[in-house]
Amino acid sequence: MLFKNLLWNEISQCKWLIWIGLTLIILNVFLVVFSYGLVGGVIKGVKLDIQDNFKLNCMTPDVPDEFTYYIWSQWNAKSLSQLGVIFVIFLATTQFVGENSRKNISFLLSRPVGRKLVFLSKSSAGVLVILFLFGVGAGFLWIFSELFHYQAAWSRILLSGMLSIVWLILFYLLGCLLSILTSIPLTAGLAIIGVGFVLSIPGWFEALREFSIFYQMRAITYFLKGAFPLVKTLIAVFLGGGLYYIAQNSFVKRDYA
Amino acid sequence: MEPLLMIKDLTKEFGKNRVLEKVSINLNAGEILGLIGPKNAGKSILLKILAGLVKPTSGQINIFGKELSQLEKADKEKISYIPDQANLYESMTVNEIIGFSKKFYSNWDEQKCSQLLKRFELPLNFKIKTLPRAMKTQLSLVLSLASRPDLLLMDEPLEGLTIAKRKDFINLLNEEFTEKKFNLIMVSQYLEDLEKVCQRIGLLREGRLCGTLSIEQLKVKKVEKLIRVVFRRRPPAYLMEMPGVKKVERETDLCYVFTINENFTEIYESCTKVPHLSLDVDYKDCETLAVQTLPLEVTNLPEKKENTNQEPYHTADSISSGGDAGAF
Repeated sequence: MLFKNLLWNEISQCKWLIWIGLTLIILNVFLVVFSYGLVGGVIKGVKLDIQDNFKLNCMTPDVPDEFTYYIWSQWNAKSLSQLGVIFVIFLATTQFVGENSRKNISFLLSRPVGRKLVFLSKSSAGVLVILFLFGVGAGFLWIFSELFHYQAAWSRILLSGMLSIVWLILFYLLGCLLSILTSIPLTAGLAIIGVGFVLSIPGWFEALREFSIFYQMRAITYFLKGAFPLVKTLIAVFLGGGLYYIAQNSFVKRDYA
Repeated sequence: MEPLLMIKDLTKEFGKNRVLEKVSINLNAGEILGLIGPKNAGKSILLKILAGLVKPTSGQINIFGKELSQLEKADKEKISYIPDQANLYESMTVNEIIGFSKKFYSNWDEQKCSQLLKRFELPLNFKIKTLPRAMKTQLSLVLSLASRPDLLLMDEPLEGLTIAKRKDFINLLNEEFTEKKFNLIMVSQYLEDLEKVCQRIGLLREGRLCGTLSIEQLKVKKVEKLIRVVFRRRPPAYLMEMPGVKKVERETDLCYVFTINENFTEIYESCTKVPHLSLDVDYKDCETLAVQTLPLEVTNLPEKKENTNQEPYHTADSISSGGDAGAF
C-alpha cells in the first residue's frame, strides 16, 4: 500500500519527462520506418557503413532481411543507446538531486516511511518508465512498419532491445548514485556525462570494446550472430545489483539539510 | 518518569564545520519548547535531526523511550515536521497532497483535516505552486495536525504570515494543545508569539545550547528583548523612534542593536521590511538570567552516578551544553 503510494507519486513526478520521452520516441520511430523507404536503394551501403563503424567485418552477419537490419541499426543501436542514455541522465537527475533542490525530498523523508522503501520506489519508478517508453517505442515501430507494409524479425529486434535496456538500466543506476551524491542538478548531470565518457573509452579500442557499457548496450553480437549473451547479461545484472546496493546505502546515509 | 524526548551530547558536523556541539536537552510529555538563536546557531539542523532528515555525528537521541535510529513506523507516525520553507510537491493540488499524505498514517484524522481546511479556507483544487506562502504554511500545519502527532517540530512557521493569520495560527496551536496534549519544539523569531505558546525557551549559540528560560520567569522579570540587525544601508530614523524601543546601540557601521521593552512584534516586522543582511532576536542578558533563575541540571550523564554524595540531578526538565553547566 505504502509502496504503491510512493511508486505512483514517483511516476507522477516524472510526468513531464515521460511526455517528452514519448513524443521523441514516437517521432523517432516514425522517422526510422519512414526513412527506410527513402534510402531503400542505398541500404546496402548503409549496411556496410554500419559494419565498418562497428569494425565488424570479421563477422558474418546472419540477419533475416534488410529491413530488420535497418531497424536494428537505427532503433536499437542508435536511438535506444543514444536517446536512452540522454533520457536516463534526465530521469536520474530529476528523481534525486532535482527533488532535493526543490526540497520535496524532505517532505517525503519526514513521513513515516523508511528510506530504503523510498529508494526502492524511486528506482522502480525509473525502471518502469524506461520499460514503458521502450514498450511504446517498440509498439509504434511495429504499427508504423505494418502501415508501410514492411516485415521484420520482431523477436530478434525485441530481444536485442531488451538486452539494450538491461545495460541502460545499469547506466540509470549509476546515474542515480551520482545524483544522490551531488547537491546541484547541473553538477549531477555533468558528473553522469563525465563518468559516461570515461566508461565509453574502452569502446574506442577494438581490443577493449567488450568492456564498454555502450558497446554492450547495442547488443551487436546478439543481433548479428544470434547467440544470446548469457554471461554478459548476468554480469550486467550482477553489476546492477551492486550499484543498487551502493546507491541505496548512499541514499539511506545522506543528510538532507 | 522518562522524558518523551531525551537528547544527550548531540553533535553534528558537516565536514570540518561543527554545527551542533554536545547539545543535551529533555522534553517532558506535554511540554512546548521554543528555540531561539542567531542565524547558523543550529536550530534548524536540530529539528532536521529529530525529523530524520539529517544524521547526527555523535550523541544520543531517545524519543518515546527508543533510540532515534530504532524508531518503528508506528513511532515515526507520531512525529511531524514543518520546515522553514514549504517543501510540498508544487505540482500537486491541495486535495492531491492530502490524499498522498494520509496514506502514510494509520491514525489520520479525516475530520480534523476537513475542519482545518475549512478554517484556513484552503482551495482544494488549486495547485500548491499557485498558493501564497501563508497558505502553504497553513497546509503544512493541516497535514501535520491531521496525523495526530505526539511530537511536532516547527521551523519558523510564522514567517510570512500576516498579523491575523499569525494570531489564528497561535490560537489554533493553543486550542489543539488543550484538546490533545502533544509536544512541540518551535523555532521562531516572533518572541511574543513564542511566549504565548511555549513553556520554556532554549537558547542556541554557535551550535551550543546555553540554557533555557522559563516563560513565567521572563514575564515576572519583564526581560527586555533584543533585535540585532545588520542593515544594507543606514536605517530610517523612524525605526529608532518607534514606541517600545528603549535603546539603540550601534555596534558597527550598519549593525544596530535595538533594546525593546514592549511592542516587539511591530518593531521586528518594521526591521524586516528594511533591506538587511541579517536579523537576529534575543533576550537581554539571558545567559545570566538563566543561571540566576533556573535550577540548571545536567542530564543523565553517566559520570554523575559515581558522585553519590552530590545532590542528584534528577528532574527531566533539565538542560546542559557541552557537558558544562557552568557555561550558563
